Amino acid sequence: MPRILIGLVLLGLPGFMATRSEAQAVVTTDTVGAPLFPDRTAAENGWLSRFNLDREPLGGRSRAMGGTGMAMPGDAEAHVYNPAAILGMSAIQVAAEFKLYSGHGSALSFPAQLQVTATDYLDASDYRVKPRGASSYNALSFGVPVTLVGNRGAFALSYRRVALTGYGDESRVQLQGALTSNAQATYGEEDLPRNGMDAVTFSAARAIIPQADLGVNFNWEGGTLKRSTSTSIAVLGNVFGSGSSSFTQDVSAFSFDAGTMLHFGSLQLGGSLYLGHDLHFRQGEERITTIPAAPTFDHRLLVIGHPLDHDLGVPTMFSVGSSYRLNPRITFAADFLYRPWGHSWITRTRVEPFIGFADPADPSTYFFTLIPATDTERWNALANAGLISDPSIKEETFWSGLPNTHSLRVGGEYYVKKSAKFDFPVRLGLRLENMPQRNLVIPSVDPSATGDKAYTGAVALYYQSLQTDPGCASGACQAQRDYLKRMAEFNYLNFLGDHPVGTTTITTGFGVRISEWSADLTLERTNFKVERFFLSNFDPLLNPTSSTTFESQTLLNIVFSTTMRF
Amino acid sequence: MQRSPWLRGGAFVCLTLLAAGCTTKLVPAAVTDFGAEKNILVTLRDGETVKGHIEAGSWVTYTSIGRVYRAQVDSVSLGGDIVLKRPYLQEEYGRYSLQRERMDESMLQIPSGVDRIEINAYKIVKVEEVAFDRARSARSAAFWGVTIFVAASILGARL
Repeated sequence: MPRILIGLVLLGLPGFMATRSEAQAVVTTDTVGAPLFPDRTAAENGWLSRFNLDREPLGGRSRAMGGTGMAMPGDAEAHVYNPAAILGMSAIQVAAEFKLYSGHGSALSFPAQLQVTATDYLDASDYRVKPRGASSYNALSFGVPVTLVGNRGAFALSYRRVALTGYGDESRVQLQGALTSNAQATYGEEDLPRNGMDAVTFSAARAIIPQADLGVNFNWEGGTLKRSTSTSIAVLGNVFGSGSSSFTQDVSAFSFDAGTMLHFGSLQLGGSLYLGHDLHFRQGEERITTIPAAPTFDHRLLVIGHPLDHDLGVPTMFSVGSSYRLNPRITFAADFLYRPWGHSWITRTRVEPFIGFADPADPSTYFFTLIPATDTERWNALANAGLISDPSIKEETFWSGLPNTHSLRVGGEYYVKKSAKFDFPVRLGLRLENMPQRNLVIPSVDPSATGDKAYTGAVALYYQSLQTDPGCASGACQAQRDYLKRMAEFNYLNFLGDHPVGTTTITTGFGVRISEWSADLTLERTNFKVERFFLSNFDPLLNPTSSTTFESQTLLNIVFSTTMRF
Repeated sequence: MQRSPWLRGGAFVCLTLLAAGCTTKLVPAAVTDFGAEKNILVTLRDGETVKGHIEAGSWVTYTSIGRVYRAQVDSVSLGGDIVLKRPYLQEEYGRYSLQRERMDESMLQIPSGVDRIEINAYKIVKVEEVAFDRARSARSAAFWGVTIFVAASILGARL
């Protein structure tokens, strides 16, 4: 969307520069349906592309040790890794945790030109990207150790942020060309994710025999995902055009975990199982406020759409880990988390894509529409006309496009001071895992077209086929039509590359315990390199000339947690 | 109505201080501290206590087993004898009734209508000052500050 709008704006830039005062006139807004948001899920529209469904590490000790915790008896928040680990509690306790995050990034490569129309290009330079800083609560937890049927036991209740909506970023680029009267225009986008998915978890654990503990978690997950993007274009510091887009959708689920921990002297082994379940996405809404259109800049559109409700299948996951206490002051830990998100699927109402040309003589009048099975009247009419195969099937399941995010974590802890009243541990850790997003690729269907013209190329190929085969009876024509239908229906998912985005996270931190109170400070630094759409965080396919950038980003988390024992 | 950030900040600080409370600790003291501007805890032989500013005219709290009295200090001698006047029963805990009955003979009797309690110095086994515990209060404030902040953030996001 933003790039379409920039085209609209830049086309009228020279005239606008001459009559800027007129552009200050009141901008009228028309509210329209959702031609830019046809019936698809938020995942297909790209809104969930950076949504991380994996559990956030929790607890100062575990987080600073790389996120290990599968085999370390801990406090109430240790249930996130292994519900049996809460048996480490020795007193009733309340704990709280929050984090600040920020980061920096740089563009390793980006397109030298931005195509605005079929024939007009702008030179792009000085592309910059920077993750946004923000803060978030992590958890509030309460735990109580008990004697349960004659053995050690513990209960914990926590409210925690399972997953952030995502990390936002800001991107800027200088554009210059004939369309800007050779003046430098600064195009900027800000992406602001808000809220996320939270969980209320009740945990129970009990020692079965002196060497073995068992625990279970009941997780009620829910929240509202929100993302918004604002776009502006400025010349010589004067913003003369701006627009925005936003997305919101509720998410909920119930899940169950089970875990065990085995004690062999200084060596401890742990394992846990997160049972597969469905994540329900409901009540979505998308909005775009367009940049006022050139050349008059007095009129804009408010486009409102409603993403389809859908269920995302969360696969069953397991984790194993070990910890070894070398001596009372030194502990090492290592965990492996098997998280096969690549096997997750999305189920939603079936939609049938229709594509064509409004004017058969003009290939630029290409259009597509998606008819959902819930639109009974039109669905039945099209079915009766024989345009929908198996119309009785009204639900559709397809691959979510998520990558596996298996995680390898190692960490160590050294107590500089350790006594009955005062502890001062320092910690270090490393975590290797994949981002929840994949690298993006621009698929090419036209061997004569370069990558960033693939989508346009597909439309052109289909149009050419129709010239010689108006009924589209040939295999080649049908293949081209099927390709366009797939593009229309699954949108963002067609651009997912095979290679996931690997991340390396280094963690360090220290803790202080004085009598009944303790506090931990943890730093996490995550590095990754990712291929993303140029100047668009979501809805990239609305621009027919997609292109990608290759970026290096670093995210920095500063996490503060504190615990009081009573 | 737009709420002022100062108002919210003030409410947050008040809540934190309220939650943290002012934690105290007991510091050894002596009968010579009677009369000084100190909050004193006097422990008697039978476990009874007198707590407050031990100076003529001040009101103190006298606790026996399961019974809490308020009384006014009538006089304090140099040797440490304390005389309380106008005592009245403020609170009584039923769960101590059995102990009270069992120890009835050995307890200081305060029949109704008595307006003076004499506590001889030889009955005093320990004198301590109830002092403000800065370190513990700081820890408590840090913990409750973070906890209330996180709780407020959660409520802010969800309500």
